[in-house]
Amino acid sequence: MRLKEPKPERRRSRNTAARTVWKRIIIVMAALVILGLAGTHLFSLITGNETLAMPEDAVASVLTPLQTGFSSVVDSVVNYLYKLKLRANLELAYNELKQQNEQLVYQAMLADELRYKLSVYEDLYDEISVNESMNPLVATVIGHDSGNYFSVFTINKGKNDGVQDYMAVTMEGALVGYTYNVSATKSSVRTIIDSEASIAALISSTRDQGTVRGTLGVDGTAMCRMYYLPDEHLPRPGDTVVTSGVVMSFPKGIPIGTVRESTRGMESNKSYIVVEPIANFRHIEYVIVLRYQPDAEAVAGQTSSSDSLTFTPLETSKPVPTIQIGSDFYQLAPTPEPTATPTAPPIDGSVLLTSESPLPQGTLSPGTQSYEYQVPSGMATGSEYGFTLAPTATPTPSPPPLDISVEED
Amino acid sequence: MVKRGLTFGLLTLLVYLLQATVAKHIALWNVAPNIALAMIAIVTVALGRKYTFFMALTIGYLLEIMLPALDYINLILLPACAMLGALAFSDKSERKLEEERSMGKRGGNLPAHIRTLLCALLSIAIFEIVNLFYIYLNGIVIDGDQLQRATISIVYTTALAGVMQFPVRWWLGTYRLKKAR
Repeated sequence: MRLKEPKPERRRSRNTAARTVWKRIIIVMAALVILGLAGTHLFSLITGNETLAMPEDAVASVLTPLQTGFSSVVDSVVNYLYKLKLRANLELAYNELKQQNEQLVYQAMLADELRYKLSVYEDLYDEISVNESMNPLVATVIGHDSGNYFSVFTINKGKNDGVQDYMAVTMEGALVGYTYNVSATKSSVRTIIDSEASIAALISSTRDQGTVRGTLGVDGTAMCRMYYLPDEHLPRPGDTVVTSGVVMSFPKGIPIGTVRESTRGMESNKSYIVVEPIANFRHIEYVIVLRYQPDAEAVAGQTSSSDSLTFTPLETSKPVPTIQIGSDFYQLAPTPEPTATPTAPPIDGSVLLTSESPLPQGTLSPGTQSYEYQVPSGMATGSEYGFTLAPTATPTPSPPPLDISVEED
Repeated sequence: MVKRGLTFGLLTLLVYLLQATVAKHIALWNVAPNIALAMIAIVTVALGRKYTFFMALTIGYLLEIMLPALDYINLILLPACAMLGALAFSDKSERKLEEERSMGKRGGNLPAHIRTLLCALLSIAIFEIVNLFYIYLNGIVIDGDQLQRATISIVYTTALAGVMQFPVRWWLGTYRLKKAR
C-alpha cells in the first residue's frame, strides 16, 4: 500500500517545482529576447533591412534619454572635478608665482643693497685713489652715540691699523670728524657737529682762517659755527669752508661745509658764521680715516735740521698747535704777513706747499710741506661748492702704498 | 529572485552607462579601462556563468547599437571574452568538483577575489588581442606603442576589477550569503 504524502509537504514541493519552472521559463524568455534582439541586429546589418532595425531603434529610443541624463550627470561631475583640479592647479601656480615673486623681491632688495654698497665702495675707492698720499683707510661704523648733545661714533679700526688720535675722518669727500680715544682694534670719532669738536678751517674763497665748532650741544642742530674770522672780510653764503691743515694731523683742503648764514657784520655781538656741513651725518656706514703723516724721508732734503717746525697735536678736542724748533719735517722760513687775498700757487700734483698760503696767525711756518686733500669727482667737489684746491709747485713725494681694506658683510 | 533580477538588471544598465559615459574620463595615459569586462568578471565569480552570459550579451548589444565603433565587435567579442573568462574562473559545479576529487585532485575553487582578478585579466587580454589582430588585418602595423596601450588597458582593467569587486559583491549580497552559512 502506497502511503500518501501529507498535504503541506506536497503543496510545498509542488510550489517549488512550479517556481523552478517559472524561473526557467523567465530565463529562457529573457535569453530569447536578448538573442532575438542580437539576431535581428545582426541580420539588419547583414541584409540592410530597415524593418529588422526596428527593435534596436526601440531600445535606443528608450535608452537614449536615460543615457543622456546619466551622461549629463557624469559630465557635470567631471566638470566639477575638473574645476577643482584647475583651481588646485591655479592655487599651486599662484603659490609658486607668489613664492617666485617673494624671491625676486628679495633678490631685488639684495641687488639694491649690493648696488648701493657698490656705489659706496666706488666712492670710497675714488676717494682713496685720489688721496693715496693721505694713507687712507676704509673703516666701518660699528656704533653710534645715541645722545642728543654729542655726536660720536665708533669705527672698527684702531692702533693695529695705524690709526692714531686726531686723524681726519671723511666720507663722500667731506670731513666727518676726527679720531680720538683710539684703542688697538677700534676708534671713536667725534663729528664736526659735536660741540666738543674744534677744527681749524678756512674760507676757500677768501682764505680767511678760523675755527669750526659743532652746534649740536648748543642748539641741537647738526650745524657748525666758524669763529675767529678776521674782521676784514665778510664771507658770503655758499662759500666753502675747508680744513686749513693747521694743527692736528689734518690734511689741508678737506671740505667741511658751506657758509649758510653770515650775519656777523649786521650783528655786532655775533662772533661767528653758520656753516652747514656737507657730510650726511644720518647715514654714516663707511668712513675713510686719513692716516696722514708727513713723510719725513721725502721732505728730508728740503728741511733744515735746526729751523723746521713740527706740529704736535694736543690731547684735546680743541687742538692748539705747539711749535717745536728743530724738527726735520718742516722748513723754517720767515712768516709772511697775512694778505687780504690769498695767492694761488700753481698746481702740481697733490702736494701743497703751504708756505704760499696766507697764515695770519703764523701757526704754520712757511716752507712747511703738507699733503692737500683731493676731493674725488662726483662728490662734494670744490667746484660744486665754489672753492679751488690750493696748488703747489713742489714735486710730489712718493705716496705710501694704498691700503684699502673694506669690511665684508 | 525578483529582487536579484532587478538588482542584476540595474547593475547591467549601470555598467553599460559607466562604460559609455565614464570610461573616457578616467583614462590613464589616454587609455580608457574596459569597465564592462571588469564588472562582468566580478559578476562571473559572484553570480555565475548564466548571469555572465546575460550581462555580457546585454551590454554587448547595447554598446553595439549605441556606440557602433566597429560592426559586430561589441556584440560578439564582449560576450565571447566574458564567457571564456567564465569558463575558466566561475564557480565550478558540484559535478565538476566531484570529478576532480575522483581524479585525486583537491577539488576546490581558488579564492573568489583572486579568481575575479584572473577572470578580468583573461577577458581583457583576449579582448585586446582580438582588437590588435583586427587592426593588423586591416593593414596597420603593430608597433610598441600599440602594445604598450594594450598592456596599460589590460593592467588598468584588471586593477579596476580588483578594486570594484568589493563594493559590487557587497551590493549583490555575496558577503551576506557567506556570513549566513
